[in-house]
Amino acid sequence: MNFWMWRPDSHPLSNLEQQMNQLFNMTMNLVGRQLFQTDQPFLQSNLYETAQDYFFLMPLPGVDANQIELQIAGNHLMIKGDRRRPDHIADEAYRRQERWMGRWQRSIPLPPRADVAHISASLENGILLIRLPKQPEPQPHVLPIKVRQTHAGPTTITAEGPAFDERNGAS
Amino acid sequence: MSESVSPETLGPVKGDAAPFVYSPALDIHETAEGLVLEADLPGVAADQLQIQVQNNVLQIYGKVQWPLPDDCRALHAEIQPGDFYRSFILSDEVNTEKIEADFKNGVLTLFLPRVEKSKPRKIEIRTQGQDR
Repeated sequence: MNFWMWRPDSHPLSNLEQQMNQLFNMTMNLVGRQLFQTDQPFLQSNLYETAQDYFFLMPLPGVDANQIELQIAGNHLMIKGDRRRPDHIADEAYRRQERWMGRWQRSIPLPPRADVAHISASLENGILLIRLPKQPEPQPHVLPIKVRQTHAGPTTITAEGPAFDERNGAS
Repeated sequence: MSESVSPETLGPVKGDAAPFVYSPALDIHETAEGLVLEADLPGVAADQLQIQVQNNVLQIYGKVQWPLPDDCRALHAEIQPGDFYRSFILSDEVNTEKIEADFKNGVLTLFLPRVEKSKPRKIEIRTQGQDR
C-alpha cells in the first residue's frame, strides 16, 4: 500500500520531512491507539499571531460546526468532538478505511494577553479557525520624579542603567 | 482498484507549487450500485478541486488555501500547508461516464457506479434442415 505519492519533479530531500511526518501520523493513528490505550485520533493544529490577534488553525474535515465543542477551561482552550462513519454502512463493506474517526480533543494553553471574552470561531472547507484577540499591551507605568539640585555645579543624571539602581538601593 | 503514479496532467504549475503535496486519507466502501470513495481534503474550496478520469485513471487534485491573514506569523506549527493529490486506476467494472461527485466540509464523496451487467441474450439457432 502506498502511503504517499512520489513526485519526480520535486527534490527528494524536500519531501523527506513531509514523508516522515506522514509516517509518524499514520503510525500514531494506527499503532498509537494500542500503545497509549486510546482510540482517540491525534489531531494536529497550528497557532499564529498578528499584531492584534492569535489564530488557532485545525483541519477538521467532515465535521459540522454543531459537532464541535469549544470551551475555555481555566487557562486552556478545549476543543472536542466526535466523528463517526455512518451507522448504515457495514464494516465489511469497506475496502479502505484511512480517514481518522472517533472522539477527538485538543487542549491548548492560552497564549499571553488572550482576550477570551472576544473569541470567535469559524469552520470553512473543513478547516477550523479560532480567532483570539489580544488584549492591549499594558501601558508602562511612568512616574516622573523631580530632581532637586542640592549642590552647585553641573550635575549629570543618568535615567537608567545599573548606576541609577545602585544609587536607589543605597539610599 | 489500485493506485499508481501518473504523469502530471493535473496539479500546480511548476514554480507555483505549494511546498508540500499530501496524499489524502480516504475510505472506500461498496454499495449495491458500485463503489463510494470519501476523501478528506480540508482547506480545499469547491472551485479549487479538480477531478479527472482519463484512460481509467482517476486523478484528484485539490489546491489548499488556509483562511489566514497575510501578515500572520506561526508561533507553533504541527502541520505545513500543502495541496492534495491522489490517483487511482479504476477497474473496468466502473462506469466512468456516470461518476458523480459531492463536496462538503472538506470531504469529497465520489460515486463510482458499476457498469450495468449486460442482460442475457438468447441466440436463435436457425434450422437449415429444410434447405438440404
